[in-house]
Amino acid sequence: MAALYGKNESTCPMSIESGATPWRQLLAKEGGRLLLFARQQTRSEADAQDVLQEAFLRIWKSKPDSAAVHPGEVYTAIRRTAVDLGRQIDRRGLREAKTVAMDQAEGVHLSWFDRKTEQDERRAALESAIRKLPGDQQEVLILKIWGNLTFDDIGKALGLSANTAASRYRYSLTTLRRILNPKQIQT
Amino acid sequence: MNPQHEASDDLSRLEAELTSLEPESLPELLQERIELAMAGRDGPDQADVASPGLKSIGADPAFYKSEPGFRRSRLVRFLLAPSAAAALVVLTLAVLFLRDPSGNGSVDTEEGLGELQIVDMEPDGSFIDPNVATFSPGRTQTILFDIIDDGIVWTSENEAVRQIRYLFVESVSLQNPDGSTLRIDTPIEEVFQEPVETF
Repeated sequence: MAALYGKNESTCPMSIESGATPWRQLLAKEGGRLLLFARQQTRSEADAQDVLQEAFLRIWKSKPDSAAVHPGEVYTAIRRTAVDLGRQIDRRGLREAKTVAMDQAEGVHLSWFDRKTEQDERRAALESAIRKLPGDQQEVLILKIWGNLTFDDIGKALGLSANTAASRYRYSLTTLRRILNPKQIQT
Repeated sequence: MNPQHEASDDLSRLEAELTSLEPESLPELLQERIELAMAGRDGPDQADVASPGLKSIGADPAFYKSEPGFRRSRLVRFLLAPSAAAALVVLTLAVLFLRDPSGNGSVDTEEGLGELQIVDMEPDGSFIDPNVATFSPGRTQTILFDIIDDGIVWTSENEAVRQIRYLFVESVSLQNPDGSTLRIDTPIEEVFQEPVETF
């Protein structure tokens, strides 16, 4: 199982220099991964985008010029912002419903992953399976695979121990395999 | 093969397959929106971090919580910059519309000053054919930038109302056949007032 957990175990801070341009470069480079996590944490595309924006601005605003921002901090900010937003959802339930209705009516592109022509069917199956995972497994999987975080960092971002994060990751893969190959697992 | 190893290999393969999936890239409009929000703030510092959970789409919540005079001046400063740019673009477009439709670039004046020749030139000195280089409307997007609840305010008619302001940025993109594009961002503020009962 070492191979399973051996990837990207070292910390890899997002190198962010001072000034707006490096931040914009970072946004362009890492934005897709951050948005993926924001989508997982929220109920609608509009909320995901709002949460990403607010979280990104919080980090940008709070960091001194020469600091290197650890990716875990950005993901933590996204999660906290999403939690805060979740608390408000009841208060603006109607608006939320309208947003979802608009998304559906306008056929907003809500795919989590890039559509690559030759493997589109498989991508769709994987994405569908990921969406069926329980939320706690989903977030660990996303942070590990696409966030490139260590279990220690995932634990810090989600308020868990590293062991629990690793355990959830393994569960998520097992559950995914079961969803994707139900017959194979039964035999 | 040992079933345990087989299962482990299976998971490793699945993991590799997942890794090969690339998250969808950030929508261009969202990136623009965040950049716009960054432009509207002072920049990285240790000061006022946004209040949790505020449905702020780009503006600094602390900025709206500060004293009214400061708040207004910041708002005006923020709104004036794009307004000036938009005005410049509108002026340019107006000059283009004043041209003779025949395309010879002349404008008749009432003062009898004769014909004013307006010509565009390429960097290499050659003339641009006005019939070719024309901007055509492309994408129009209205972005909700922020919602500000001013609470209960009194109108000039001494009526108590609840006031909510919606800040938008209307973005219009124009495109030239040669591939060049022009974007005009116009800040818009819509104010809604709902009368409230007073006792």
